[in-house]
Amino acid sequence: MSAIETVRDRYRTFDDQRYAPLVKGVGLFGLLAALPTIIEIDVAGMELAALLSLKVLILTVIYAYTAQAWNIMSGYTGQFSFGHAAFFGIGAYATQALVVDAAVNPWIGMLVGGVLAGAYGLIIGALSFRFKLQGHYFALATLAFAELLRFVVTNMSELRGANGYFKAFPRDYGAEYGLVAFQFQNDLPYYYLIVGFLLVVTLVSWLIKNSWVGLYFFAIREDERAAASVGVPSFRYKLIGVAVSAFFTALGGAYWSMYFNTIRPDTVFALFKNVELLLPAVVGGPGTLLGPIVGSFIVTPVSEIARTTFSDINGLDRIIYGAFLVAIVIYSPRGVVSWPSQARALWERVRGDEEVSE
Amino acid sequence: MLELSGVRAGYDDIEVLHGVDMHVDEGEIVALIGSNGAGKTTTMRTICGILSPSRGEITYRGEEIHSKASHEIVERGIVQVPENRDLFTNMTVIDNLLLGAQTEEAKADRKENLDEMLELFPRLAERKNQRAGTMSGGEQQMLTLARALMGEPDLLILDEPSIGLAPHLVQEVFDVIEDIHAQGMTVLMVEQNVQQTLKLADRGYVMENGRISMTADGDELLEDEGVVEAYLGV
Ligand SMILES: Nc1ncnc2c1ncn2[C@@H]1O[C@H](COP(=O)(O)OP(=O)(O)O)[C@@H](O)[C@H]1O
Ligand SMILES: [Mg+2]
Repeated sequence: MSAIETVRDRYRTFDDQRYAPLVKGVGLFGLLAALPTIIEIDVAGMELAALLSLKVLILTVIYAYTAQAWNIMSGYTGQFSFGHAAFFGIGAYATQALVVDAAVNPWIGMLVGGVLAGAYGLIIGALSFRFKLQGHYFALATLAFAELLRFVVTNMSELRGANGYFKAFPRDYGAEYGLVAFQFQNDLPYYYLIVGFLLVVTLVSWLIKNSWVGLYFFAIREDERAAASVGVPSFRYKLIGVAVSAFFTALGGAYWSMYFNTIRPDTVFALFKNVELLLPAVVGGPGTLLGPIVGSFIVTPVSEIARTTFSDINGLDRIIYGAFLVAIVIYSPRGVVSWPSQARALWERVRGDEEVSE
Repeated sequence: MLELSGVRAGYDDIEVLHGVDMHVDEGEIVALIGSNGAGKTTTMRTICGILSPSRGEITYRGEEIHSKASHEIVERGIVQVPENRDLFTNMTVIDNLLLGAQTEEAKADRKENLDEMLELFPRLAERKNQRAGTMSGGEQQMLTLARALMGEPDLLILDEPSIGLAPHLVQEVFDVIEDIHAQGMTVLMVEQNVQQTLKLADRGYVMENGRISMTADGDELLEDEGVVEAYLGV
């Protein structure tokens, strides 16, 4: 037995153990927690942080979080949403509007946003599933619902129209800087907070995947007609998928609004926001637990670095997103996380051929 | 137990069933035979709520079920082995089996039932972590049957369960049906193996062009000249 096969065998026995998910989870989130320290290490006289700043890390984890939320609906049940900006924007607006206009604590505003987004998701789902919209038609319907919201908010003076909101100081809603206020004076706590968000949504996602709900989701994704005929109440379970996904996406919007201070309809409800919210999951591997996280670590830093390095080229980040999307959809629809097993299959085929030709 | 009266149903504008009357009593095995395109599959789909009748009514244990969705019908204990199998080919054998347990009771018993199915169908046990789509046609047919049994049905509906199977597997399917019937399950089945089916069945219906043309005890149908000529190829 060659060395590589021994390693692979060991990994397989490890993978069968009950504690394997726990070990992997601790490893992954341990790495994420250590990243701010890692980027400060000098490599050949240059700090990694010059390239991968804490800001970029925060952005990366935000999009890993939102992609994980998108994945619960679109990756697991197969109902491809192109309109998650609607939920993201609802979360951002509910939080800011309540903080600024009513001096409500942002954590409460965030939950209100989550519930509102869940309700909006139920409306979108109920309408489009009743009319049996599928595939492209469903995706377009979700996009229409997101754009509708952008239009409405832009024209609503009660929500300050196109100007949007600027975050209040903690004292304005009766708190000091810190976790309770959802406001910090430097970036590091923000980073750990979004890693915490990612941990929660990943845990929820894992629980769903390993439960009846997940089994139903996958059955619906694979063949909805067959799922219905064995007795899966598919309408109900698709709605559950939308609502959970919308809820968590809204929490991401709430975080975004507290971290970036200011929100406008053409940022949080932007047409392109829909792409940013789904792309990491699609690139990393839709329907997998790791895909959205891996995907975001590929897509977000590259486009951020390109955007800031070539700031005179307008829209470069979007071109890069477009290139990623086209490349992955054409060449590897199962995403980056499927590469190791595909490489192994290829390797085994090549070796098999060699053995035959010998 | 199950009663269809004057059921008309079909696809879009085409009416396939022109008023079907039939019934199944508790504990019976009832066979539905007829030539290709007679409307047998359409009848099964209508009972299971995949199609809804334009006229007529279907009652199950005294309750109207013809306007119910298919998952509501499954909840009431009617489970079908469909003609086109409807397996989830990218999911494992185990997951396919688990998806058969839909009622609360069936979910509660799923561990024991799973063990029982793997014992009853040893070939499925060997392939339990394999994707369903990678199995042979015969194994897939067994899986479809086992998945239906996971639902602990009161009324099991079988649409050509032995289609495309090698002879020894056909026998295996018939043995299983006889077995579960002995345990008290009611069965309504469509089969091309008319002789074997009618021997097993308490009663049979003959369907022609979307109507029931004849009904009698299984043995009587086996001796009927018209039936013998049309379906037994003598
Ligand atoms: N999905 C469908 N759409 C339209 N017509 C169908 C469909 N399925 C079956 N039919 C038609 O309905 C009639 C009865 O078919 P079916 O119930 O499958 O017959 P059987 O099962 O007795 O062979 C046939 O004429 C067939 O062409
Ligand atoms: Mg048929």
